[in-house]
Amino acid sequence: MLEVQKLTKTIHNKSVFEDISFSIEPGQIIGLVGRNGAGKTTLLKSMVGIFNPQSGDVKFEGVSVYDNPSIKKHIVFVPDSPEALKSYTVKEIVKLYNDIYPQFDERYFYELLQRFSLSTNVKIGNYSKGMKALFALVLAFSTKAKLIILDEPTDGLDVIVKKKIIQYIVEEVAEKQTSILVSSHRLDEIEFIADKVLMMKQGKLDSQTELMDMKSHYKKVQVVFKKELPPSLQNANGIDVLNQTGRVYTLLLSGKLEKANEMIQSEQPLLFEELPMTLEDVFVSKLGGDGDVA
Amino acid sequence: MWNKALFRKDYKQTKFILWAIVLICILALPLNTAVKLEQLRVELEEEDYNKYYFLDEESEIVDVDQYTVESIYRRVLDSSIQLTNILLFIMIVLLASVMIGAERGNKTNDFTFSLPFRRKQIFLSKWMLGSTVVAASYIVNYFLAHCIIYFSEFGSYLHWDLSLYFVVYSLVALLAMYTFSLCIGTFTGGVIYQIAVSVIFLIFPMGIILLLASLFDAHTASSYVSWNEWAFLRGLERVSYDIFLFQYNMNLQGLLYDFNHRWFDIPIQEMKASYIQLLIPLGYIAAFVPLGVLLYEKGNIEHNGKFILFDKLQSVFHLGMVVCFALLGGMLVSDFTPYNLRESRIYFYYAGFIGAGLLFYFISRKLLNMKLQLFSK
Repeated sequence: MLEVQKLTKTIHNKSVFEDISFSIEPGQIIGLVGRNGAGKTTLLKSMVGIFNPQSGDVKFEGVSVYDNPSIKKHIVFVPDSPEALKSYTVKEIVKLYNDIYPQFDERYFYELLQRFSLSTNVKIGNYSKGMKALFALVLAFSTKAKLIILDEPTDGLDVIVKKKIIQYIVEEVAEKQTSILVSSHRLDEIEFIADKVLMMKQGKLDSQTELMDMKSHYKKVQVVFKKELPPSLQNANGIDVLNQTGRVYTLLLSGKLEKANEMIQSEQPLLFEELPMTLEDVFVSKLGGDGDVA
Repeated sequence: MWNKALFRKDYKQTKFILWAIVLICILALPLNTAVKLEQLRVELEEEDYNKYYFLDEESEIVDVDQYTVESIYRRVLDSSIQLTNILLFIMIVLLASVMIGAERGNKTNDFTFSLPFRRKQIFLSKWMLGSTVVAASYIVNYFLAHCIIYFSEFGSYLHWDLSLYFVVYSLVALLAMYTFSLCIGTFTGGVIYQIAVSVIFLIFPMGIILLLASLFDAHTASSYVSWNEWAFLRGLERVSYDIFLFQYNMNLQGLLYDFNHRWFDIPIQEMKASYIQLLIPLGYIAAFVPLGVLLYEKGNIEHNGKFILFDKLQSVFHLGMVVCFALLGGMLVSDFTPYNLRESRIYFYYAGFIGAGLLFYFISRKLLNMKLQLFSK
């Protein structure tokens, strides 16, 4: 449905990201993760034409969003806060969105506002932060767009609102086959809702992982040896140290899991125990390290 | 070009200024005309003639008909047009700056560019909305002002060809200013910068003449510049005036004087108006609409908040500003030259030139790289 083809963006002659390519299928939820300054927001903004990329293209159903911006009526970008609309009343926004998005479902929009107890007689600027985030989502889904791009939708919100938002996104996708591309620092949320995770590191797409496949690609284990971690394991491919407390090591195994298993077993550990693995473990292992934060 | 959604969004953003424009036109055209007409009526009743409008001052014989037609054009309409145009000029720069510059400071730019419209369409929609409101309110209220005169006892004194010329010129000139200011917004990074650059470019041509005259003066090493040299500078000033300050002419006096080279000594109805004078403001519209579209399409909005959005253009602006400040420094310091050291004036000039140039270079380098974020949380 949406194809990002070799997208490259530089600002002040410095590359923000380069050669980014991926695709999104209908009904898919894709999580975009990366450390601060990895270029996530710039990528999302470039995908919808807010920023001009240096090269590459973004095609929605085969049509370039740069050459034919009218195709963007099927794509809605929801920024981290709907500041641009804060001077609007709900009724003014409905009129505006009716004019912009031909499929905008006004009835559904008001139903959702009622469901989330969002007042209809106020300016958006008068909503609380959580209400603004919820409102932006409701507005985006009411356009009946085929793809919704969310930039940090739960950033700075309380647990209750976060839960509501996550639940609502999952419901909408399940019912209407809307595709979602969501960037977030909250890996637990991404893990909960996403089908696929894109990891950005230093302006490049480090990996694209289907979460269903993650368990077959990665394994988290806790091991204890007589002394410290044997040198053969310290520099081994596919074995990353997530944590060390005394002689207790938490390792993330990736790639050929059986081979990594055998290598550890050959060093005769005192303890070898498999632990439940989270996306955060993969994130720390793959994107960790000093000096990445811009 | 005319998109309802973009119109709605731009109207929401600028409605206070748009309505202020309508209000200014109502107050300064029909209402002002009615008040001035009443003053004229009282003058004529009391035979308290304004001496400026005597055609035969020596004999002090008043041709009342001629006095009336002169008063209607030179005072009633001229004051209305002048007042309207000065106020509209300020509002137009503000309108253009809110249309484009203000969007850059409050994330509205992100929202606008994420919508399913071409940037060209977005720019032209802004141009259309502003131009339509300015043109419509100006034409309607100018027409109302004439109706007030026409349906009064002064109706027969109207000369429609002159009246038509003034409204056409004023309108084209105002729209040219709006287009110019909107175009400035496509390469400046915020509302303050857009207003500043618009105003600077409007006074720059006159200012640069003053600075060049001083440079010229320093090099002639005398207290007087020769007539030929002045004639050259005056010529430059004249061209500069015509090309860049056409809005200064948006009153009857300026326009007619410009073409007839006289103002008071020929009857108003015998003065000639020339539509050739429209070429410069029309040229502005023809040049700055496509240039605005081009720059709006190419503009990198990640630089919003900076003085200039384009890195290459920023260097040109930087150089230009440094040179202007150096010239200003030279002018100011050379003025302190003692009279007996007049021959050494050039050394004083270059001390000021280099000092001010270097000082401004270092200050502006910091300023230009600063990101000014107004109205954003």
